[in-house]
Amino acid sequence: VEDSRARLIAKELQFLRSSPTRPLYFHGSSMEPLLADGDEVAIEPVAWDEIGPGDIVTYRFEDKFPTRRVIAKRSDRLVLACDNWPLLRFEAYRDDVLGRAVGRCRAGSWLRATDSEWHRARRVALRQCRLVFLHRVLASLRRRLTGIGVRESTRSTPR
Amino acid sequence: MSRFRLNGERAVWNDIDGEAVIINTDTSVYYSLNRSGTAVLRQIARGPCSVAGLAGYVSQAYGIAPETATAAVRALLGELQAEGLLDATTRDAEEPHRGDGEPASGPWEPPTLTRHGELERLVLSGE
Repeated sequence: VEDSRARLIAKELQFLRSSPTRPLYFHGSSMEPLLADGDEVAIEPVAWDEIGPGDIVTYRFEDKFPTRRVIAKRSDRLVLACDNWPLLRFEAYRDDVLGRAVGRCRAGSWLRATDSEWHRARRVALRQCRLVFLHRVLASLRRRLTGIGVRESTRSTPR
Repeated sequence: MSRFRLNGERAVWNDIDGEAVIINTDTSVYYSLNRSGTAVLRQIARGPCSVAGLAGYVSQAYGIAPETATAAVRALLGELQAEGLLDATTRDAEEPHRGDGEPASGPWEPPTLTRHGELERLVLSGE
């Protein structure tokens, strides 16, 4: 086994054994405010059927492990977004999903996925994603209508 | 007679196309085994094994002399144990059936444990 492959497999194995005593660390600002840089995160393996919109999942992408929120589920993949970047969309295929976030620790204090603050963050993030979607649909409609308007006015302009 | 079993608390492994990748979750050191080493590991993972039991399996599966198989198995077990991946037990646990029909995956080569390095702390990417 090549070293790079062995390393990636070893990382995935480490995922399977993550726990509060063997934590994983979150890096970046994409999932703020729920997950911030340096937070410890507990990830648990999850069955595909148990994943739903609002869950935060970790998946393999090249040699990285992005951790993002599910906003829609297709038969073979998830559509994901980041709480702090609601305009962007990502996809993760079923086979690449490694687990679901079940808690985070900041300054020694654990917040569990069953806690109300976690649920509130979930609701806010999903609402924001829906608003972004609605905004995009409206913008698209406006462009179409404007286009029709332009064509109509061009057609009715006397030569 | 000592039997050897995987240290289930520390050793986590996966078989990738016949070659095992193992991580010691206490030290974050990760290793790989070649095919014959992986065949031995697979046997150990099924339950506590003695040197004689494993050597018998290797000898039969690869068609090599029992003395060669015993020496190879002993060396591999020593390495795995030194890395904290195996435990020796003297309890008289029943040795699992070694799988007479289980074919060898590839030609015989002495089992080799490669120590790749240590994983840094595992980071979830949120950039």
